[in-house]
Amino acid sequence: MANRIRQKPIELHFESTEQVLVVPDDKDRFVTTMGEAARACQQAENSREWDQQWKDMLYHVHEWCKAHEDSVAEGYVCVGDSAINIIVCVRGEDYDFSFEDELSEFDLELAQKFPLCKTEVMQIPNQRDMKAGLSSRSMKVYGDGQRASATSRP
Amino acid sequence: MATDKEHQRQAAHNQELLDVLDRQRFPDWATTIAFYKAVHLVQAFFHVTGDSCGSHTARNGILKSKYPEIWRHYHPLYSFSRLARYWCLKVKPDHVEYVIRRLNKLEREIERELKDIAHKKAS
Repeated sequence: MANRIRQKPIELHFESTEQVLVVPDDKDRFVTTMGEAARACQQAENSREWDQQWKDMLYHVHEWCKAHEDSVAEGYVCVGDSAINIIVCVRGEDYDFSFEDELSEFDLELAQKFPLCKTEVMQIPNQRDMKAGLSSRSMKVYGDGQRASATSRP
Repeated sequence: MATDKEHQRQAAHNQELLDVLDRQRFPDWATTIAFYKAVHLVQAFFHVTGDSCGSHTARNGILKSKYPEIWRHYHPLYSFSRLARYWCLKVKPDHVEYVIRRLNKLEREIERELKDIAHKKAS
């Protein structure tokens, strides 16, 4: 045992065109390049990281809304064209200009804490027209409703 | 791609329209014009800093990560104009006053950042 040489980890270089054979559990094996395999590994790693940031971000939005319950009635998260929209519905029926600075700070905070999620925070006034359709195309993470309690820390 | 001078010209052009627009009748358009003036101010600023972007998301990302002081004034303009443009928020003439005030703050912040950059270059 004392003479056992510790094995070096296999190195996958992004620039390598050397062929590797991938053998999945179902034996549906295939050949790719070492570079492609390295990129696939990185994607898998990023995907795990993204998944974690997404879950943490949802929880964070919920907690933030709760901490600002005097101003915030509901919080929604929905996927936009190029970013994840964090929609904060204020308590009043008018747009709350006095709340803008806090929302901008929140937006910055989310960008710093969850950079992979690419979020954009926006406020909507508490008007029926504004909220119409939100429940079908977004996730409610704060406020009255069935989904609010579904957001729990993983 | 437009030059910094062209962006500045467009920002001034938008300001001209803001000055003559009937804000009582078209408060929604006033907020949109104000936002697009902000876009051109930021684009002109990016020419000086060497940053470049081709979309709102990319521009927002650069502002958030590198120029948070500018973002703090740009973000409210961006968000409010989105509501006016896509969510059909009923913008009131009173709202325009807030928007213009925010635009002025953004302009001052950009000027301050530009002075800082010039100062750093000189020293």
